[in-house]
Amino acid sequence: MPAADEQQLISRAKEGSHEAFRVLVERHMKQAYDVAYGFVGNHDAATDITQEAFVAAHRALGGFRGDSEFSTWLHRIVVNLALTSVKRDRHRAEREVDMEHPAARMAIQELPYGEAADLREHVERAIHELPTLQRAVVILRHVDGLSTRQVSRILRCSEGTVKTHLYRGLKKLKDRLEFLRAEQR
Amino acid sequence: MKKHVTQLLYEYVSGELTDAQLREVEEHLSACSACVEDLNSVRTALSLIPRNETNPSNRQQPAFWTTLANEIEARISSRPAHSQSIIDRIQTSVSVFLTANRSYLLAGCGALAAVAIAVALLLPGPSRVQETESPVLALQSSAIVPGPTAHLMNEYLKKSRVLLVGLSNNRGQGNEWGDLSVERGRSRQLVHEARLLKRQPLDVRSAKLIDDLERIQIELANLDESRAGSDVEPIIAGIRQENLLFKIRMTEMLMTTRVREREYR
Repeated sequence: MPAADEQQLISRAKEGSHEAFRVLVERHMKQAYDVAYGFVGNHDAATDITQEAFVAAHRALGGFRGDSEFSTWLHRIVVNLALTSVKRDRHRAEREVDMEHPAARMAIQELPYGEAADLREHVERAIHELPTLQRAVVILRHVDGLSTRQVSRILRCSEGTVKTHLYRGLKKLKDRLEFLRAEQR
Repeated sequence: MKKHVTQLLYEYVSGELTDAQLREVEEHLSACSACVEDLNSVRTALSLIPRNETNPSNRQQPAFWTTLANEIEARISSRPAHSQSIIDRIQTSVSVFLTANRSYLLAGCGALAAVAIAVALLLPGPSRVQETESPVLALQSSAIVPGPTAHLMNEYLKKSRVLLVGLSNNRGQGNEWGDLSVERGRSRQLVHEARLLKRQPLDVRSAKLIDDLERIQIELANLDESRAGSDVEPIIAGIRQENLLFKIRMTEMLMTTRVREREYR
């Protein structure tokens, strides 16, 4: 349930107040951006997703019943958009990029995670290589710092499922990091 | 030995176990090296994950957030509910559906797919450009790239042309590459514009040109300054091989003609 002042902002935004919605945007956009960034791993895509998420939230605000926090509801929209974006990019890369094209070869070699020079980059790369649900729970719980309960509400699954995916994701992450380190040596 | 406690290890590390579970796990760990190894994996991974203080949002300047909020406000203000397109309405319905009633998802998907197929069959499709059609004919057809998109496209092409020409002229007298930070910054901005443009209705060739340019711009945006010289050469070679500057000029010329034709009508 949103806090009283937030509930008031939501009500005013539902009635058409752009000022009230602007306050909601300013209050939640950084965390929405962080959640999106966790999935897509680059600034431009995270910015696009954040913008799209708020536009979609504005359109769907009439359907927000206030059963959960506004941030939980918004993050669910962000996660849906981010997962769609990741899937679309992956499919596009597989289907459309001509691997023999010199520019394509360069793009693949030079994208941000192509030359993981330090541990942070290794970790980010390894997180992005996790299966979708494991990546989602690891990012939401440990990168964005949400509670297991919040993550379960965003992903609409039980806390037990979240913990199972966390365990599997973390174990896989450690194995993947060892592999990346060995690859760099 | 009792069965492994792998399912409880995450909760053990995060301190979420009940006293009874805690005793069970510790007792098992004292006798099971496999579970101890798993436990160490989880602990190691947790210690390596970047924490909140390194949130990507912290890397952005305050001006970025103001601009983003302004852009969102502008989009919302320019789209009153009654003027939503069919696609917008479908998107909104899907968002609400996904965030509210996942339990009905499977049944809903079937119904939605049936409606989508029916609509696709009943509505006339967009004008399609045959692969064999000449680029000139494709670009001259007013049904393919609408006026506002042609204007946006023209702006994007102009900036891309300036970027590529500037890049080619960046070398100093000693044939070494100068500072490329400006080109990198412009490329980042252009990648953003390319992505916005790709959401507009485009003919096949314009979309292909934007894809090619976007790829080059991604490479430039991700250039490592310390190795700029060796990294730029293949990019320049790619630009030449694809004859990108010629394609840009040709498309610009045709787009300008289209925009002017529209203005005179």
